[in-house]
Amino acid sequence: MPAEIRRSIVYRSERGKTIRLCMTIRGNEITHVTFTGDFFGEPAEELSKLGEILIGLNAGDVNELFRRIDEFFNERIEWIAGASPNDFKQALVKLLESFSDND
Amino acid sequence: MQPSKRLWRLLEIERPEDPYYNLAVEEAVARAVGEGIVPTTLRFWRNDNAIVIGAFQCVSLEIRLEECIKYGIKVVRRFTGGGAVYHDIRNLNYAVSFRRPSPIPGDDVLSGYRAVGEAVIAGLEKLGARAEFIPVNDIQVGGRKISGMAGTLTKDLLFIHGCLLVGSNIEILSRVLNVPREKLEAKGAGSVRARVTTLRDELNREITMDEVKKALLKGFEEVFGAEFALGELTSWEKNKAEELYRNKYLTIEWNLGPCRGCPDRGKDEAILRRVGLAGGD
Repeated sequence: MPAEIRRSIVYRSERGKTIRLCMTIRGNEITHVTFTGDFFGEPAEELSKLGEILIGLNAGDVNELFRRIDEFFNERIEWIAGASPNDFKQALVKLLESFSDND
Repeated sequence: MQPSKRLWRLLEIERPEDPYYNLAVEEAVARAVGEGIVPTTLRFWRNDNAIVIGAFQCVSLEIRLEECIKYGIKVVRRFTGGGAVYHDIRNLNYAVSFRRPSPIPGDDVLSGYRAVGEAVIAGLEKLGARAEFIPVNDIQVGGRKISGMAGTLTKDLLFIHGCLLVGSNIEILSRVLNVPREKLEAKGAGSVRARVTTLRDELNREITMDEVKKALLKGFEEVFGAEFALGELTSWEKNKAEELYRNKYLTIEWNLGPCRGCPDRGKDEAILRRVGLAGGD
């Protein structure tokens, strides 16, 4: 079984807020993700679960990861301020690049 | 004939030594306003030696544990987003709860920051400090942050709260918060110390909390046409605050926030226990 690799990054949103993203992958499978930061949104309980929707997905399939993020914000989040769905996607790209940069 | 003024309730309910209770009251009051049980409410309150982290933040990434232990600082998560803040007894918190539709044009969180920010700025002006609102949610004096706000919006409620650095210990603040280098660089500051200021430093004199509260009240009167009546918590609010205190703000689950499922959950849990979370779960 491939070893788990963990990475984290800090991303600044277009509105000037901070998104911290931590991810663990085994092979190409995402085994854990958390998006944290100083953005705002509701329902808060739902927004704090953003990372959970990516668990089990293929970290190399960026289109699918983006599709899931869009679906999450469209269906589960009433409003968000300080960061946009696109910021979360760009944070994800930055983090995925850090895996390939360092391995 | 003068236009009729809006009557707001003013609360000065605080337990500075118990940040978990203070946050429970904060949410109970907001809910009571949203439910229409009580009128628009402005609350002034203080914590003594606590870090209040945003709803979506990670404990271990935002605070410096060893420094918190050294200074006996408690950590609690609030129900609004935004960034971690350090509160000591020389920091004044203000919180405004509006039942929707609120009197603020736009009736959303970003409009709320601007409108409440204008009231705070008007109050600071009366004390001799020239402040400005910096989107998304900051108030600055001379390019340095003196107050930050956070808020939330639900079907019935627009809630905005903020903290004002009256005379806080900036040295401790800068040691206990782990502000990412990327954020400081974006703000053009090399350190937290260089990025924030206090009212005492700006006015170059000691200032009492009563002076500050009176000035802020005048600011709210001007900007919102509000008139204040000092009030108390209702029975509903007291019961709700007690319930939230026991079942939410004292619990590890709540204070872990989005890191509940994290492989490092144990680390965050240990931090929360070591910095004084009594535990209620």
